[in-house]
Amino acid sequence: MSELWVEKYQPRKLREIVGQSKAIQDITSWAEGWKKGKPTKPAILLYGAAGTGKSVAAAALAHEFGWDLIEMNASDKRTLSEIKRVAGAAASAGTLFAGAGGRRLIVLDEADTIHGTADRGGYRALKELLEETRNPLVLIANDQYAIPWDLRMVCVLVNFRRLTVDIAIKELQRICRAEGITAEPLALKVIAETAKGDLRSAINDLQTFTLGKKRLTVKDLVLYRRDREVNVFDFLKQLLSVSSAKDARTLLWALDLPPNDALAWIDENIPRMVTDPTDLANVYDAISRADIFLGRARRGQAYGLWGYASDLMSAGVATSRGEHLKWSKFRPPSHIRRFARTRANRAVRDAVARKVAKRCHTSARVARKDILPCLGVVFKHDKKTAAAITSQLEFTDAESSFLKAMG
Amino acid sequence: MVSVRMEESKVWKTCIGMMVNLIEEAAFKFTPDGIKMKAMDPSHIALVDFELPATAFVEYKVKQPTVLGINLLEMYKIMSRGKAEDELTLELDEERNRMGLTFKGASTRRLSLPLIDIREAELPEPKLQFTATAEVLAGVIQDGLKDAEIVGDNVRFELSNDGLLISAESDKGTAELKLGKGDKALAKLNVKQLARAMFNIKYLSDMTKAASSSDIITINLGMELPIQLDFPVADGKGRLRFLLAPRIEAE
Repeated sequence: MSELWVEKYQPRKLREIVGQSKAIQDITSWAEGWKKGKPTKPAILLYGAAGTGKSVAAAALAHEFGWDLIEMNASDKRTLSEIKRVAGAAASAGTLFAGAGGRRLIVLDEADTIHGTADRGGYRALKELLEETRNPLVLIANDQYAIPWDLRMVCVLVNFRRLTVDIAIKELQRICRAEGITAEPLALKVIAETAKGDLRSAINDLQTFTLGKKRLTVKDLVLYRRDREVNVFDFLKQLLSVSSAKDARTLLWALDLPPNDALAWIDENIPRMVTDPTDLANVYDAISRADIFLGRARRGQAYGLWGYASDLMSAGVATSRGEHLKWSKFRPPSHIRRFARTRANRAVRDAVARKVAKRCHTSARVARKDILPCLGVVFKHDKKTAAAITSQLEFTDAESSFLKAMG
Repeated sequence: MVSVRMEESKVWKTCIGMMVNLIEEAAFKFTPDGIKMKAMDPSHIALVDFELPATAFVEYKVKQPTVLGINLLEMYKIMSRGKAEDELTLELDEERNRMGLTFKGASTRRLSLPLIDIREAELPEPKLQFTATAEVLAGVIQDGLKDAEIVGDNVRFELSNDGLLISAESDKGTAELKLGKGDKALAKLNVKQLARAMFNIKYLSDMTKAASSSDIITINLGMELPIQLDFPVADGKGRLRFLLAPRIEAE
């Protein structure tokens, strides 16, 4: 394959970066500050969604200010020692070309993934680095809050916004002109919209769809949306507006969720918005039948039945929901929320069950169902026996009070 | 076709040993005239520039320029297996994409290692105006660095008309090594202008520790400029050059 367009058309200068004028301004004034010696905030944190120009801006900055560029990517072993070794050595040295008067720009890409390790040693090393450095540092992250606050405090924070559809279209047009491609305006619009502000993926998509040809029409993009992962909220929204059974099925294919999760989302949200009682009955009918198929598929390991379940939950629901809808906010399935709420409690319960199971030579499940309730009664009414059991099974305070509350 | 033979394997071993502490992978360029390699360490602080002409080999068969990517650590492990006086042959096995190393001494031993795919980096040539140069016995530099290591992480090199001064200073104390005109270990001194800069000791000792203490190192220095160290290879036919960026001193 020929050169990637994202690299070929990558901006080399800060002002060539589109749609981020505020960010570029902040970066430039921070970099200017380095000319007068180490500023109070020696690092800059570029954060924002993928494909908005963060890494490109860092490279362009180094180029424009004549700084030697050192990049550490997530693919590097991002351990404490690695940061200390490479960045640490780079932080206090001048350059090979200009000596002690030269500056280098140290870029830590995907800085929000540094703390893969259990301790936060990576961040500690970074903080030390910021104190010692005599060279400018750039941290790049998708989520600024994944970086500890004490580290953020010593960084200039610069947000890269998702690019608007208009800006993305303009960039796509520019590339089309340079490559001699005629593209239907609507086709470019579809690509720009699907990318959702991620210019890199928009350009990659454009290159993929025009591979080997000089014309791009909307027809070329027929398969496009289906292949893309659709998030569940978009899926539900569209399920409430599609008119044909076929479209509804296609929608579900594009959703990257296992069928029982998809059904849970549908069950939680769609019936709430149906107003006509007959329609509502039909919707529930489709949902319950889908559930029956899912149950049979699971019990008999007959996953061929998923097809029927999928059709019922998508096409079945879409054709029976009627036109009179009362829109309200989508929410996650209640059982997910309930599970999240009771997680701590369940963890204690399971810990108790495991201890009991081991002592009684039985499974944790039997211990939970049959033995724990009895223990609960003991713990509530007979302090002495409870104390004996507690010391024998080495229950923690949380565990014994859990049993007490049970009885 | 690439097949080169040298009389003593220790020449190659010393070179690899001096590079391996700084860079993990290197692209060696085998041309009809000789072997060249240039690389920067991951921090971009140090540059290694290696040249070994065809004349340094007893047999040198390279038809067209070929770039071979080598994992230096792996190669060093292999080189450590050879005896110093063994005859060494480096060969490219194109079919299997490997480099073969044959040691011929008491027996003939052949080891090979896979080639790695690395792009030959286009490194810009630093244009530095050094103001002083000296030729010094490697052992002296090694001593000076070991002294300085006790005191701190950084060491200052100074070349003046008085000679060479290696010094370090920290809360832990001071260390100083002087080499004046007339000292045997200072073979040559040429100072146009006082030259001084501070460097990371660890990098300098990585560069120098594999050298033989009787080698003569050529030092080039400037005011707050990188230091350039040239080591003679194969009786001065080739050379191994290191460039190390100076430390930025606190304002």
